[in-house]
Amino acid sequence: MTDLPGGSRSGGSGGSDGSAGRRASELFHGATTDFAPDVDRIVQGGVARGRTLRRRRRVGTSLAAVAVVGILGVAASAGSELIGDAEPAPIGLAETDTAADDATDAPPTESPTAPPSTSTPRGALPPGAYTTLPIDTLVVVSAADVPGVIGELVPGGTVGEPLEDPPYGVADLRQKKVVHFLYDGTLTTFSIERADTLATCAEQVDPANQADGEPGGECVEQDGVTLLTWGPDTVDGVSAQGVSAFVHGYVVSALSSNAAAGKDVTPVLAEPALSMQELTTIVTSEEWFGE
Amino acid sequence: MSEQEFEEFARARTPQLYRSAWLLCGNHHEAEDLVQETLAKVFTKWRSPFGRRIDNPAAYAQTALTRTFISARRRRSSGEIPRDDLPDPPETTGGGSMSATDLSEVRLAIVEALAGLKPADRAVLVLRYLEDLSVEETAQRMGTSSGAVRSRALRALERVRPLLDDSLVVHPSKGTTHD
Repeated sequence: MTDLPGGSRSGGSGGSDGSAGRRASELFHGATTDFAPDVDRIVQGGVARGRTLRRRRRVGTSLAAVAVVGILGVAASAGSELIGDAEPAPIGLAETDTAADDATDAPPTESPTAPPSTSTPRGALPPGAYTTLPIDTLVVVSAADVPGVIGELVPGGTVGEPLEDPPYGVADLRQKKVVHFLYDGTLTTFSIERADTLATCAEQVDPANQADGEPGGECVEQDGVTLLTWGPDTVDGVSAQGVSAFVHGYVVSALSSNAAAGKDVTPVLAEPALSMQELTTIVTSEEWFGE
Repeated sequence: MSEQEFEEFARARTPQLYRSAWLLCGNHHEAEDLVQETLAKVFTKWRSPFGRRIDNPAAYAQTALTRTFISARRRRSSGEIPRDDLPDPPETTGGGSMSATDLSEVRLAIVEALAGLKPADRAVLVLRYLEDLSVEETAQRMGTSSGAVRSRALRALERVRPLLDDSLVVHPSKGTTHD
């Protein structure tokens, strides 16, 4: 008789599988129990890849999570990501990814392709991140004015002031705006970020980039603009949905929920206050940009 | 949860994740890559400033590993064609503890047997008989029904049945048997 080292644990592998199941358990445990992988190398590699993945997925991760699981803890840990970021280099001058992420992130890739420009040299802008408007389009709306503009774009609702206190906060940089506020009493988030600091739409929805292996949303083309749509997703009783538009070298995102916070609250509406159509109107508006 | 806490978790879980990954992938190189990719995905959730706290990181990691494997194989959709021929059981020396050579042969036979399975069937085997999860837990991890798990388990067990003869038993000093 031949012995395998190790052994099976008591567990759920009995039942209808019977003896064969138990022996399979013994076989697998015995065949693998003395494996000695290089844990240090694997963990270090996993952390490095995680940092890169997190940087590439920033919009998809942050916006989806904001809506789905709430803003809880944003200010404490996300301040550096959504609020306190250093201003990225001006879009026309950027040569590398300047996202204020982990200093130890993998080096950014060199500028891939950029649409022809008659004026300013271009930086690292992902394909598909542009429409036909000039690349030196400026974001002309201040963070404080965002709720008001949205109130005009989607009339009929009541908009509140930007939520500045933890766990929320406001980013009001030249090329980056993040604002949380209440729309008809429901938590709403709006952001504009430079596209060259973020993943492309396809990357953000790629199931391979999601922990659950499911698509992170859907990329659709509308009037020459790439839209990333997701939701409604419901977690902890709170439903949320969002749309991001890849336009003018920026990613303009808006999400809407049906509760005053992301979790631990009773929803005030059956569905997110802003429909997908309304969110699309917001993120594709030219109100945000100017010369 | 801090990055240091993540690394502590990752170091503790990597050996078990690696064992699962090896059975899924069939070789050490891909297993290491799969574990790294899994840890990367857990890392993004671990450090997500908005993310819901992971209640059970070990289960989350195992689920991520399984789904990452299945998703990757689905995309590859490649070269893997379920085989009809059943593998030969490994030759053993017969008697005493298994030698390194014998163990290598057992592993090779396992790899050959599992290579003929669909990725989802292989995942069921790993979750049921290495992770020792119940049918219901396995179904939950894989995002499928209990009935599908039972069906896949029976089919997969049939595949490895030639390896499950009486000559392969657990060393009494290192583990328990169910018989």
